[in-house]
Amino acid sequence: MRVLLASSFVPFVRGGGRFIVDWLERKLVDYGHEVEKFYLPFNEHAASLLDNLLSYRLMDLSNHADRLIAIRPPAHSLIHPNKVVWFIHHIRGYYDLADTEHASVPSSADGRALCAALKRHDTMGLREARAVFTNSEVVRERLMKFNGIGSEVLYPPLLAPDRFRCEDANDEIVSVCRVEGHKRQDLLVRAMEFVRTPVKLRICGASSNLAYEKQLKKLVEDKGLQDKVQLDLGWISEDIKIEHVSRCLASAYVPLDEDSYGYPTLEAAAALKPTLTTYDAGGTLEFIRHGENGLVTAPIPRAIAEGFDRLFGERQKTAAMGRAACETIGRLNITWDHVIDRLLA
Amino acid sequence: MKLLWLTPVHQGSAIARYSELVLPCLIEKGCEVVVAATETNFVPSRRRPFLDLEILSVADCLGDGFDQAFDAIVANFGDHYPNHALSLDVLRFSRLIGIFHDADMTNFSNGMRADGREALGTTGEWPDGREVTASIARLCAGSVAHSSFYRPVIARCDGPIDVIPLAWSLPSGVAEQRKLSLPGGGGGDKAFQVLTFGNINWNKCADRVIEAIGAGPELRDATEYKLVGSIEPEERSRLCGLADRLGVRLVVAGPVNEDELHRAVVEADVVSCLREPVLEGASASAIEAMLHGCAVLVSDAGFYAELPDECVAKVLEATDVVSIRVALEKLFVDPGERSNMGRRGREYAETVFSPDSYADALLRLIADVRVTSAYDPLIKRIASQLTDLGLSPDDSSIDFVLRALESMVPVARRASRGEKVISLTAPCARNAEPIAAHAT
Amino acid sequence: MKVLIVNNAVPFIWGGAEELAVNLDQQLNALKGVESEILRIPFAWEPKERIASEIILNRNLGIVNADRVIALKFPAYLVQHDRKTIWLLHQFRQAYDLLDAGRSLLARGQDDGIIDAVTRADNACFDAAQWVFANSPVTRDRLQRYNGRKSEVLYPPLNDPDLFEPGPYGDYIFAGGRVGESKRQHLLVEAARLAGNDCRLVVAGPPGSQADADLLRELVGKYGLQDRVTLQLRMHSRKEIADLARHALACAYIPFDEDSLGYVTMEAAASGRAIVTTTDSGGLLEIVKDRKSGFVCSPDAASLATAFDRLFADRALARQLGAAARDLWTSKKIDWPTTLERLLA
Repeated sequence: MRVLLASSFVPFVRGGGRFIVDWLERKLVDYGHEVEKFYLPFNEHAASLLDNLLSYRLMDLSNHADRLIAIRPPAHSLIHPNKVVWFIHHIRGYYDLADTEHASVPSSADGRALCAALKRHDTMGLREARAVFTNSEVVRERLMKFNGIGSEVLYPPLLAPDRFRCEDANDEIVSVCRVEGHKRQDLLVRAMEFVRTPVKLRICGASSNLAYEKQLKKLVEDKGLQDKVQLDLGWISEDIKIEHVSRCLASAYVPLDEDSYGYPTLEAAAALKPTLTTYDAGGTLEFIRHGENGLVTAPIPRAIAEGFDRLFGERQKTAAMGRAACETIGRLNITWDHVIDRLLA
Repeated sequence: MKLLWLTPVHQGSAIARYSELVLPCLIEKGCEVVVAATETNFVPSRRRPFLDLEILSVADCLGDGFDQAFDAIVANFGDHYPNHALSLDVLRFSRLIGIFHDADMTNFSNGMRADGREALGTTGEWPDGREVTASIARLCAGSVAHSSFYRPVIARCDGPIDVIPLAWSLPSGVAEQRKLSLPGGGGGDKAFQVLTFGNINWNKCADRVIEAIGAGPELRDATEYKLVGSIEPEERSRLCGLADRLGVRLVVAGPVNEDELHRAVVEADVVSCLREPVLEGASASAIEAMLHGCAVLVSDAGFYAELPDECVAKVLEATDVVSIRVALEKLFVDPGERSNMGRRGREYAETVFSPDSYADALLRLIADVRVTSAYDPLIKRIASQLTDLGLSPDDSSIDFVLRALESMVPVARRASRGEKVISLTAPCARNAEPIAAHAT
Repeated sequence: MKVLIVNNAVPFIWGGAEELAVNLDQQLNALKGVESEILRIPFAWEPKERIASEIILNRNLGIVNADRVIALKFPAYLVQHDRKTIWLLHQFRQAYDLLDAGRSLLARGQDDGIIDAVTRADNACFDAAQWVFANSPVTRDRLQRYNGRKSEVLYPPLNDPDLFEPGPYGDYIFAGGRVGESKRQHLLVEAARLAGNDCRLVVAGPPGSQADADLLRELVGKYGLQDRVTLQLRMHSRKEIADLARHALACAYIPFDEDSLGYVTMEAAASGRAIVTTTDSGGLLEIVKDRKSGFVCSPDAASLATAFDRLFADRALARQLGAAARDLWTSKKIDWPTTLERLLA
């Protein structure tokens, strides 16, 4: 099939939103399809929001492919007779965050009217699609609640899960993801003050938030955790990441109210390692079930410390949970076979 | 959602009563509503209850940034200038929805002029009739009519428009007694009661009804024609003189309170709502009579023409005495049919004129107006860009742009006279038909 | 510094401009302190009524997070940005020179609105752009003529100049580049027929169509030129091309009225080979000067055969002209470092 892949992007910002698009492109080609990928610019500031949406509506892609797969908003605004949307998040500054400090609009009648306009626009664009998928239950519920649109959950797989191996577990709990306040690495560090076993923590990840990095370093110093906590702050290669994850005791991933389970959870599972998360982490709970394939604790240092100790103290059980985590991948259909099958149905 | 609602509020105003019916429904559906009185001489002691809501003066609401505090402003317009003058003060604000209770606003226009206001028409001349209404609608972001016959008038509004059947219902606690159907009329001790109520003036065709009743012995002997409501002395003596000459029993009750009015309607066999010409957008009187289950005599024009044929008795020509007499006689001889018609009328009225449905429809329109208002800056920018490209309004190259815009918000293409200017105005969802110069 | 390269795209079509954008992107990313990314905007120009809406589309796209924009073609160069450089590869020629030549999908009279719109959009755009370069004198002259805007010629450089170091002088004339009617390789084959016994010709490049390939093969067969003419009608790797060029006696390139220098020309000059061309070949006459860096013949087989004979008879001449060609080439400084410096000035 000739497939157009379209998504919005912010130039020079690379991250989760791009992986899903880039990996899907590669996999579609692997599966024998012809793919053309477009990353389209989008300025979501209130002053230019509707102008940009008009530009999307003006693009003529109708004659060029058998199917259009639209991913990051407002790609679903594009017009195509066979449009399929893999919806990953709303432009939340105009939705549930519209009356918080993360709002994209002023708190005024004009602002609220713009939110109403975007909501109606999104709903229309989604209704035009022949199928709508979301990347998590969290997003699926929001799509129903905000736009009245039903959708099917389609979890995004790793590009190359086979690259993750399972080595014998060392003493480390590993955290591999972007280092920023929202991901709450500081919670993990604080937890290390209260562990009773010799378990260790390794934090890996690049950051664009210098202040937060400093905060983490200071935390380690102030609490005297230099022997227990390893901070690898900065970009690490895929190979090194795979090493750490493959050898760890378990992974820890505790973002605040995130939309989906996150690639870290998946990577750990691919390496047959369980993940510790917290009950306020959001989408991780769609993957992790306490005691089965990971641990779910309260988002406070002592509770996390208990979890760490448990993972260390009950190694056999930890390994079993790791195996169960890997099985979860199949159980939730987080495979390219399934994804491509559904997107091209 | 926060609404500012401009309306007359005094007792005795039908529009005030209508507002009082709609607002609780809006509030129940989650709106926060602020009410402002549009009477030039608003007297708090004369106000209707309005759920004990605070009623502000329009001037109080027009402070800095007020149009950002309200998600929409609804202003009620009717032909009576003193009741609606202050609605003019909120024209041109974004998200202002005009509700037009009268198709013809000649008196309002005269009032504006006498009050020293500037004419609203584009030519600087004073419009009259439906042109007044259209020129006000043009300045609103959204408009409502209560009948289809004057939709072309409000379609001069650039924004979303809708025809919503007038919200009207009987006050809770009013016992709508079933009509007691007595056989015939003549000879029995109960007269055949015909009623006309409201402001009794020449427009109500009371003289024609008297002539129709007096045209033949059966009707004349059996009928009592009652007029309820305020009436000028000249009109009273004219009608009484006419009735005397023709031997028709005429009762002129003058102004009454609401309870007395309800009693009169309950006792009536037929309510005459003949009008010549039809000026109002919808007839609260006719609806009131239908809700009572009363048979209603109407002109086959305007609002009344849109009522189902089986729910009311339509008279083709409101000034034709013979037609009126024929219609009255039909109702007179068949009490069963009167009763059935009344029942059908009530069922229809209870559904169609329900304040709850009105509120739903109005909320949909408000949502459209809000969405449209968000697009105003974009539309202006695109119009300007297309103009800069030298494209004329009828160039087919614009079609793709318009189509894309229309997929987001309904848009009409309009060129201003004599210039190659494309003024895209949003939205005019339905085709705007040219309005008649005068209602005839 | 973040540099966004902006280009059009037609889905599933890939051509010279796309190659250039990729190379520019690679070169920029290799510069210290510079990050580059390519933005491709879908472009559809049929039906012709769409053209005005494409203008609006590009004008209203929101470019954020880029310090500089380098735009290559219409209508992508219409995107708004404070610091925009236009490296003009292509205007919408249908509204300009092709219109004058009667070879446009637009017609004067009925399409005046569209033609006017393109002109106005271009004029406003070039007025507002900070820097405007053209990829050849022809492009520059068109821009001056139709839009009254001056620009500087900036030739797209060779992407792999290191491959084209001069080698020993061989015994064949190398004719590279795409094989097709407008490139007139058949005329070179005819010339080889008329030339003396020493003459050898190698034609190497992908044929535009089967007919183009057949034509050459038929000619060789018909005149029994198998010993003189070698046809390699396929894609070649860059190394293969480079080897052919740098070991030739001289090169021949005779396209009809080409806008620009032509990569074949640049490769030949970089390799230090004399270039045989014709008076009507167009832009490459910038590099090929008759009897200084090659031969400029009249466009007929006899004239070309004479040039071939001279080269085979006088190898010293071939070397001298070849060295001069290389000197002239390097003096023009058509290389990536210079080009990038100009683009980012």
